[in-house]
Amino acid sequence: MAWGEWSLKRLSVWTPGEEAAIRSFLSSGGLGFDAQKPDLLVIACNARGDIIGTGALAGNVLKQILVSDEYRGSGLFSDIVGALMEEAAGRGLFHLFVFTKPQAVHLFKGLGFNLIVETELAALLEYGRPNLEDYLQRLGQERRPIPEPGPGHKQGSSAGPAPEPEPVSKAKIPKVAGIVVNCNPFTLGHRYLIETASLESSEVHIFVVTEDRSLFPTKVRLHLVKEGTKDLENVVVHEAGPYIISAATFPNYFLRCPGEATRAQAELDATVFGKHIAPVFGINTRFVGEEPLDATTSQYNEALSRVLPRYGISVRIVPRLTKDGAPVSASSVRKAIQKGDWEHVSRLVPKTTLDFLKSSDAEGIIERIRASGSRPH
Amino acid sequence: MRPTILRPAQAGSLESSDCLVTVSPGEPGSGVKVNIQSIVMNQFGDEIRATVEKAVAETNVTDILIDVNDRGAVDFVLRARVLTAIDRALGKEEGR
Repeated sequence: MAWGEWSLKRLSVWTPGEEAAIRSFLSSGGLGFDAQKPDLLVIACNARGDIIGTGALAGNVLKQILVSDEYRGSGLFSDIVGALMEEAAGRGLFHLFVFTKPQAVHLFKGLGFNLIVETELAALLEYGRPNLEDYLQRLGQERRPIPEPGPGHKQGSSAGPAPEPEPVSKAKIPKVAGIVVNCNPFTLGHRYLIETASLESSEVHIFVVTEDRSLFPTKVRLHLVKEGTKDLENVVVHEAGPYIISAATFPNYFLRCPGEATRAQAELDATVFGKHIAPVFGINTRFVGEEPLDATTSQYNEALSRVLPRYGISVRIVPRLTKDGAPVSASSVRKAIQKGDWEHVSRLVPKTTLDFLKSSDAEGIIERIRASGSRPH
Repeated sequence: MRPTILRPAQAGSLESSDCLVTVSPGEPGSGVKVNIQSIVMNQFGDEIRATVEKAVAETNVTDILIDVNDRGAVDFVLRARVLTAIDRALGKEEGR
């Protein structure tokens, strides 16, 4: 055996010294230490105590897996991944993701992982159930909206001359819209975006981000979107699930740190949507709100515009609704709540959201917003 | 009534000559479903399936999904991993 013995250490807490050693090892492989602190680190050391491999578990996502070049083919890689999977199983997590470089895809496939998507910068694979196939099948069984004939098709009274029939060549394929929103909380800005899509499209599918990392809990965000769009018959609201802006596909979305890693994640997330999610409903247009303020979201919009056309999906960027000369955003609503400026809040949100905010159910959330300082979510 | 499992469970590892078996609850009435991935699928795929199905049948458990990720385990290792995973999913003490 060319390789000496090694030992694996599993750490749920680590010293600054250990972290520094791991950082320097990761940087030797072109990896960074994640902005989000993992739940567990696995370190492999040789007999001399040098780090020869690492891996981390954050929620149900495996990351920062690196084995030093000399140990390629030694079985160390599967030892590290195996240790992470065992830890995950011990925490009741049987569906795992791995976010990795495209060059490592074959290694994970060799261990039984299935590829979800691969871009030039990154790849996402999964292990266990419920998997992508289960998710897409369940999504496909959800309620469909009642399609509207679309603009210009609304039949008026029979009085007056019949409208010129459009030449066949000009006949448009009806737009089937997809919108992904966090809605923390649902504002008039979201309403405006959805209404625009509803008017321009035959049907609209809204996906509300499931990841529960916002000041408004997922259940509340979902409820407020449903309440606020109830009157639009061609709109259906879905819970986004683990494959749309989640800790697996786009962790930096919640950390608000634009940069190269965020770009890689944004493209990956866009690819999952284009390749797997849009076809379930025949979505051919993704509507997004123009993003003049937040760099992470604007990076996401750019990624969507780059990636989705490859899957036959156009991206329609809708200008922000403005009130008093400022764009309406969920963060401006949270700021107004923080200041206790209810008059301002009432001008930024629909009645359905305002009613909730004034109800006793919202008391805890409002307290947390007041205590949150400048937290982005 | 045949027993069913209420939660997923795992046994085994990804080490060479072992296998990682994950069991999860299936839809009511779905019976026993076995998925196998193996590094020796072409040579021993049928034997692996027969071993796994026989072990599951012994437990009488139904409406179960069994995912076997085989790294070249021999027959009795495979059998032990399947039985242990099912025991864990049933909440029995680990003792096999």
